[in-house]
Amino acid sequence: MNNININIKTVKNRLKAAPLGLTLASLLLWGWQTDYLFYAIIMGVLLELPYFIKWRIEFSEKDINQLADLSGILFFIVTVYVFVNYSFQGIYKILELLPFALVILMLAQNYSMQNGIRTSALFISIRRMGNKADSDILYDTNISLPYIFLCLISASSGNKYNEVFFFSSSFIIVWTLWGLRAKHHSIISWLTPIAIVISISFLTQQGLQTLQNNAEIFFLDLFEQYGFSSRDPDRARTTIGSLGRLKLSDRIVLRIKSDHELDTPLYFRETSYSRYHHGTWSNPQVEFDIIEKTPAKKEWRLNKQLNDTGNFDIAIYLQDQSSILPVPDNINTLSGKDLIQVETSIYGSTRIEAREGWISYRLGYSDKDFVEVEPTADDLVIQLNYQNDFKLVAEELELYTKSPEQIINTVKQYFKDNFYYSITQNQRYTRGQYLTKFLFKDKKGHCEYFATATALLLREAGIPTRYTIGYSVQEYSAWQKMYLVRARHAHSWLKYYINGKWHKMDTTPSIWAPMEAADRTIMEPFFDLLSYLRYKITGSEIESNTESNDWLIWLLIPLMAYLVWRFYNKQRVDTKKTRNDNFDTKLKRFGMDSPIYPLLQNLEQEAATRLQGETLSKWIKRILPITEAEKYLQLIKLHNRYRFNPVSNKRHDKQSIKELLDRV
Amino acid sequence: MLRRLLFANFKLVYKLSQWMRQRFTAAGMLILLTMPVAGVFGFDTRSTLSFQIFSITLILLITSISFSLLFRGKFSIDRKLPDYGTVGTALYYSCAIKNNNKKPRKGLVLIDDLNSPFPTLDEFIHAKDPLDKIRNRVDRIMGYPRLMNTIRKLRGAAIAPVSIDYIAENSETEENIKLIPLRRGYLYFEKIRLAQADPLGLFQAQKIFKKKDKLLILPKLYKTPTLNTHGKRTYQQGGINNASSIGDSQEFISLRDYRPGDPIRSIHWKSFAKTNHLVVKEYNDEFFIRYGLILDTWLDDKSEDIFEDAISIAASFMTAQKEQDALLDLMFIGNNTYRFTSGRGLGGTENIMEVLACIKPVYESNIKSMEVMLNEYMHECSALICILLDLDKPRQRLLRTLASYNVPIKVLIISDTEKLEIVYIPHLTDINVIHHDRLQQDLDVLS
Repeated sequence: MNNININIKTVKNRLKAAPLGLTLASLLLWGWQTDYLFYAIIMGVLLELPYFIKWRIEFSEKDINQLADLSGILFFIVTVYVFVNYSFQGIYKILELLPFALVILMLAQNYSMQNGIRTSALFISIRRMGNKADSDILYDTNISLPYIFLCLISASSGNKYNEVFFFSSSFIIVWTLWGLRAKHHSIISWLTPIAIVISISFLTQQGLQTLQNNAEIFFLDLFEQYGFSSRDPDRARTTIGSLGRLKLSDRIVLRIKSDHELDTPLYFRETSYSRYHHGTWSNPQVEFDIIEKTPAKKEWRLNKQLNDTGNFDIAIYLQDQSSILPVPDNINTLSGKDLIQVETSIYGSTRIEAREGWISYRLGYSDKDFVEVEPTADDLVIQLNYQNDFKLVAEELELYTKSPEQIINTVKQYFKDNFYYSITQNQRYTRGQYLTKFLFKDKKGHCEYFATATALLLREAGIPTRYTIGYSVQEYSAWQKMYLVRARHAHSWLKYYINGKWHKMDTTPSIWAPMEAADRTIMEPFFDLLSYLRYKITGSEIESNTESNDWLIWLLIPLMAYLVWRFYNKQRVDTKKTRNDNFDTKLKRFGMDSPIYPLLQNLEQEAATRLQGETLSKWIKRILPITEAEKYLQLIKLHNRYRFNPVSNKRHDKQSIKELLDRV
Repeated sequence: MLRRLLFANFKLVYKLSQWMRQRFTAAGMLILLTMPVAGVFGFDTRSTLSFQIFSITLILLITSISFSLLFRGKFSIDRKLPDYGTVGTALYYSCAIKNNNKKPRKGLVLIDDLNSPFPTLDEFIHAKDPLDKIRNRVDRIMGYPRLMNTIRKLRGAAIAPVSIDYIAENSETEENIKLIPLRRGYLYFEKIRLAQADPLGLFQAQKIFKKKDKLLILPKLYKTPTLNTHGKRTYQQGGINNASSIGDSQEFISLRDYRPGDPIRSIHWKSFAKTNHLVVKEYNDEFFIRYGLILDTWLDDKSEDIFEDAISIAASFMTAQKEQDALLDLMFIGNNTYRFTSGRGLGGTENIMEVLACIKPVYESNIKSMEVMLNEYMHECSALICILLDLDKPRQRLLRTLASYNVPIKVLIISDTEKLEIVYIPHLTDINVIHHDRLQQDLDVLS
């Protein structure tokens, strides 16, 4: 069978180009949601313009590949830039910026002759295979519809106007589907499912939000029950009673630079608690006092009477804009451009307002005496079901007859001699029995057991105590030249009040830190390096925090310049003109470039117009006297030969016409 | 172990991707891909509004699939296949579709399905793909593209779906379908699907018609030189019987060029006078030329491309042989020893081509069996063409044995490498290398 005569209506399952206006609409939605409206308008107009203009740029496959690579590089730079500035939270920022990264490819597609991007431009693996790749994977595809959907998802990262966004994005999706609908169905049978889809998906998206709320409540309850202590100034749930092995991550949470060697371990408290009840330490309603910034030094002074005797430069990773800061007991001042507001509570919490991610600040301390907050009645209360247990221990240690200093020493010695450190709890007891079993049976536990038991025992002996949580500073990194505090350095201890002062006391065996360090992963140095790089690049670096890190933006300039250069160096092709050009070249082959035409035009203007169907020689004879016409007729003869004789020597003919023309 | 695990996963992935490709339109695929992306970014409904896009796309797909269930109708389909096809050359056939409904039907798509058995684990492990050289390391190690290639080869052809715009009620339409065979052998047609997209244009409802058929795809043919070896005519035992369909022993058949050994009395002097070439009168006789063509099937670890080339060259020789007086024996070793004879009215070209279309390579050496077969054959053979896949030591030994029979031998070695070393074999001068990339040029040089 001869394939020329065979009519085959092959179905090509390929994406169509977006209809006029759809790209602009989706970009406007994106720009509106993400506050890039100005750029969105420019990009949208540029992408829609090819519908109205005729010229195109002739891109070779290699050019498109290079542009795709350029898009990839731009996206990579944007990703690094965003990651560096926003850390993992930056994923949404990257999502927000995606339409920028891919607009180059879209422009290349819309302004090119091909009206599609070959899959080899998008996937290096296909490109490597060249033309040998199977047609299943190597084909031209129009990326405008995927770009529109990308704009929609990207717009969603703006997270604004919940319901308006739903209806706007539905409108764009419906518009897209209108162009893609199966034409054999009536409009009614298309509108019916569309109406169903919009209604049900509206309910579904509301359902999803409710589902998340409920799931969060459920899982947060679960985490609160089994997770490690949280840094809530009102409440701290301990893992007392939790089974299994306690494991905290190696993540670096705090970096401390000191101009002198520290006497480690140094305790950085986050907050203290006074009430203990079934594994949870809490405080009555805590009110924070806002500290005013001193206008002269631009610092927050926690104690106006004292001057700093030393300071630390600290960098901390904040997960929330409002966070409790780990600080030493003798903190005096805080300063740094990253801090927005500083508050303190009577329980020793220092709360700051700052941006999320790595921030740095300077912490001044004073070795002089502070004015202390007096203990409250809560600092002496022991939960009812533990009262007998602690009474027994206190009697055994004869604490009731000793002076406060003796009590402190006895208790310290008691825990040192009789208890050992363990991060594993395998035995299950009934609720409210864990501390009892710790005291009388197991005699092992982690810092929360020690701190809680010590605090309650001292209370039994009449000394007010508070349970304190924070970090123990103990690891010095020689190559980073700073102290590193990791999540696993989180610790709890207590403070007791005697002689009008609060004192720190830690009865946890000092083996706790090496034991928890033993669990560190072999990847720790690698993660440390990553963390260090991130900390260095984010500009939160201590000492250089006044410098901007926007230098990365400058990398984009040479790239953009390269792109513009590529565009302007390409041969621009006018599609309309091309058609005419093709027509012209076809005629030129028959001698349309004959030098006689300008002369004929002049004659036409000066003498008389040539009639329709009139030959050149007839026309000349009509308009000119015979003597003069002779010269022209010779010229016309030559011209006719040049134009119509297929075997004549064209170059020679043209030359002869020119020579004769000069004479005429 | 890893291969087994990969294989099991690939099977699942392949089946899923096939289902998606057959069921979803391009727009449907776009929605299907948008849904998980929106789902991932919208997982936290407080961080982005992407969950709204997830909801819309999810409900769109569910609605589309539900609406596709409404596709009903009675149709009958008949496939009309040609007799043969050739590897790499598009062939066209038609399908007659009858709409047995009381209403006309629009927007149907006809998808003809070839049986594509999923490769066995053994086939997956031993599969070779020349494109692996230019694939990236991950693809090479994982082997999914290689597996796809194996499936494509097993299926044997690619058939693009065809759209049927309109069929009137109770009437029939005939649609042409294009098929490009990728390999020789039989193609097995299994079923025909009639699909129609749902109103949203995302998902295709399908009706499946079981229609089993088979179509023989012949190997690719090349222009080959005429066999003009200097072999003598040899006495063929039972030769007359072999050539029984031509006629009596001394019946004149035609004139042809003189060959050494032809009796002088059969020279046609008139023609000699005219042409200055010795021309003989040809009679049907038990003395005639018998060519042998040995096809090497021991592929070992070499590329399948060169085996295909060898088959094509053998097929080209078998079809190009026009001489009526000569017998041509095709010999190869597959599971058994095979010998097929054509020429002088015996076994038509069609049969030989069918045999060649279905030969499969052998992965264990069979050169010794070939030697045994040829030892018996050489006495009745006038000339021999050996199509070999290599010139390694076993094959050199075979050629040395064959050379000792003093029968003209033309050796063609198919190779895809430039480094093939031609060793000297006593009494054997006609050794030619046919390179995979310039097959026709190398064949042209032979003449």
